[in-house]
Amino acid sequence: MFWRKRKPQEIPPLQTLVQLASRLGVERRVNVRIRYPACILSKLPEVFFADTKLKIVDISVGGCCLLDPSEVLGPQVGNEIQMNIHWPTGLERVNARIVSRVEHRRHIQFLNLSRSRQNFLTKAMTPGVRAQRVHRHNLPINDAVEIEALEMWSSALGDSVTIENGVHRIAQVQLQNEVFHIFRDAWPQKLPSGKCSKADFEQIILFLCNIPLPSRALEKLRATIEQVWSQG
Amino acid sequence: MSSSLENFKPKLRTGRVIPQGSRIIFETDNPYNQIILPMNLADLVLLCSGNFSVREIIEKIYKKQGAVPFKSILQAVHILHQGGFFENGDELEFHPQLNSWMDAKSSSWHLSWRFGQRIVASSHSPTTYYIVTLVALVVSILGLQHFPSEPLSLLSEWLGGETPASAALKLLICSSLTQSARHLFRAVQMLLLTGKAYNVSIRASPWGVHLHVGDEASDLFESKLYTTMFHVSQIVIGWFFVYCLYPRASSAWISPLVIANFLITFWELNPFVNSEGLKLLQSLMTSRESEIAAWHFEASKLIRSLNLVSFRRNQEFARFCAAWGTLWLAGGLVLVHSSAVRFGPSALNSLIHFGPYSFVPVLGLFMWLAFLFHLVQSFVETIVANFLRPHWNVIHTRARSWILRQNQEAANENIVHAIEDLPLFSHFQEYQLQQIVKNSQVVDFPKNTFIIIQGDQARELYVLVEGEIEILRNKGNEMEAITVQAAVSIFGESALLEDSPRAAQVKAKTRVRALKIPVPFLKKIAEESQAVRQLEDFRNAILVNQFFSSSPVFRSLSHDSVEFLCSRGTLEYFDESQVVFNQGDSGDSVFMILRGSVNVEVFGNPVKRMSQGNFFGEIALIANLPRTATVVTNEPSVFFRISADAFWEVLVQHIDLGVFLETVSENRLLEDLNMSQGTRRTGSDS
Repeated sequence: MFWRKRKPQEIPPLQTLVQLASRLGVERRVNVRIRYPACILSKLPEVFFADTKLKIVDISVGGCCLLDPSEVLGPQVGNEIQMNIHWPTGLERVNARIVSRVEHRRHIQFLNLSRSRQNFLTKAMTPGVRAQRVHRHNLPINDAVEIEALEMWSSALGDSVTIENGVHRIAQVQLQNEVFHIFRDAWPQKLPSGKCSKADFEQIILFLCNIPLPSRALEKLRATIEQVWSQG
Repeated sequence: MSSSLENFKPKLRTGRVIPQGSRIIFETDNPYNQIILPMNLADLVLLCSGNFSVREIIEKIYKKQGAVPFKSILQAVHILHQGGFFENGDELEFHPQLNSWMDAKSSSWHLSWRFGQRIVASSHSPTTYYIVTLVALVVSILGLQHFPSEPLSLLSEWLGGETPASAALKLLICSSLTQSARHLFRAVQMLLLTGKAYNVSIRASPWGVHLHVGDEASDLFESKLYTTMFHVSQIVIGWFFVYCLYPRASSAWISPLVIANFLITFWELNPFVNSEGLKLLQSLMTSRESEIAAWHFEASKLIRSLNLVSFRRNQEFARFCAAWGTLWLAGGLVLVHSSAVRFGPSALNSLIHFGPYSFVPVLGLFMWLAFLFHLVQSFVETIVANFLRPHWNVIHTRARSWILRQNQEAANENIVHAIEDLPLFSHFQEYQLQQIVKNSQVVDFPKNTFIIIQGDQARELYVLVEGEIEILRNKGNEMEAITVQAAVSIFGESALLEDSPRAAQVKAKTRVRALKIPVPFLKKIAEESQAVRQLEDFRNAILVNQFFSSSPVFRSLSHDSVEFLCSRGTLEYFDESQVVFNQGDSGDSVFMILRGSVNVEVFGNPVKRMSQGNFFGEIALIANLPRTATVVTNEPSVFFRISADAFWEVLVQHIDLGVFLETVSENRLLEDLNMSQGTRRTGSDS
């Protein structure tokens, strides 16, 4: 009706423009990045600036994305800063530059990260990088084929995740030729030895955390195993 | 109605998919039908609903995964078809070539009658398996004390007291019983460990008529220890029966039993066939992907190469196999030689004096020849052929190129005359053109083949000598035809630009003959002559053209608009750290970066870096402002400069482009303004 208030014209969100700009070559990221899990993993570094620990969103050998809600890093894009990175093997002071900012996120470029640390990080990131190749398998189109699992995820590299609906066992994960059984409230089991080390568990968490386009079931699985991890 | 593999719409029978690690087991309602597939083929199984053809399924998998394991898919379809898993399997007609490729592995010397596709146990007990196998192994090792140090002497002694017919019969009975017992034990082991045993059959083979149980369920073994125990026990289990029967049976039966066991053990250690010994080595030395290969699927080389540890292990495995194979061959040859020396004269004698029992020496001779053939074939096919293959390829290639060269010399003259009128080659002397043609390759392409693939690294320039080509470009998921080119013309010119990928696909519209010129050689010839300038102009024209065709912003421009911009623009060359324009300058042109990169600075602070394919200077044009930033080259760079008037003339014809550029300009402007305000604030604070 003409007297009704007209629906306001929809303005494209800023994200669209950023995407367009990135098509023009503004996006220059060259290194593969992995997402950081919510829980703390011993092999991944922690970042401190002026004694304040900053939460890492994602990381690559070229830089990282930090959450800085209290603006300790300052608003200035282009600033060079010095950060303390805590590695499992010790502390390292790294020069870095704030490349861009989106709300509370600061994209940081490492300027002088040593080659040995880069190698260490690359190795630690491996499960995360492998996870980025994992994709979900379709649900059957016809009713004739039934799947004895909630979801199946796999990659051409041979890694896979099978989410089950068991009372105790909730998933099977195959990562780098090792098979793990994930339980609801217990430490995972590695086949055939039965012993899943702390390092193995960390790899599973990093792997699951980096699978792209996660479903609700996968998100739930992540949350469950992160809870098991934090309970020790 | 039969359909080819590509058009076949597979429809699976009702069943269920059971995921297990990185594999899935597909089981139909009839539990006797089961197949194990790698999990990355799950999409294939789930798409076999009868709605999509194999071609469509492959396309869907490609779109989803970005890669298609073609070999595995074809093998899976083949095995599912053979196993009767498809409801509409009768419709599929495999191309004979594909069929022979997939059936190549299953050829062997036996007849079999399968009476059980799958036996299922109500429960399974790995502990019982472990104990039973361990006991069997210990007893078999005790039985190995009867292993003959001189088997041929034993055979000779035993044959001395037997007629040829009864000897052959006893040997056949002993070997049949040993094989049957071995397979029965195998079935027990599998049922204990996995609860399943597959393909139970009665088999007639050179070992006699015996029970046979397939080892497919061994793929379900989860422990390397169990697998190792399984294969070792399968090699030596015959000696278990020898140990048990030795005190009870008469010497007339013990000798053939020992001889049959000796032959079976020797054969099971043969690395040139799919023996238990080879499987044992595989289980010990190769990675899990290769264990899957033991069932149906070979992990692709690409995937294997990604896993360096597995690749190294496989190399070690190959080396070990070669050493073992050589030793086994040496042992086999000694056996062949000794048996020829010992039994040859008497066998020939009985053949000459042909009688009712001569069929036994004939059979013996036949077996001896077959064994010798196997030894020679294994040696030639596996060892000599592998050693010679790389050298053979070199010889073959050289001979082929020599023959081609002879034929081409005559054709080269015609090509020289054909290309001399092309603008790029018009400045070359005839002898230089001859050199170019001589050092290039004349390639024939059948109709509808792709000559150039978009995105490939460009290293060669092509001259279309005969036929017609079609130039296409990927636009999302579709291919857009750009133009059709006829002979004589140049294509693939992006090769003249260093580090530049192919910007379009080129497809042969008819049968095509093209001259493939290596660009480094062309450049070398051009530098020697005075044609460098010509080549340089040509390169620049390509650079500009490529910029407009590959830039996401300008790609939508019509051909006329691009030509118009090209005619109005000028090429500008800048050295490293040279200022293109300063902040505050008046702006009258826009710059496209053809080569190199620039740094953008606002009040002396670096804001961003732009590289090849990007453009700058548009803000001043659109907003009618002075330059909002200083642009400095980062390395020696080439820009294409277009004046404001020419630029606007195109923009008014392409409103979409204008709107888009305006939006980008606004953003950049906003960013620059923010930057300048921030810097001023910082300056005033300090």
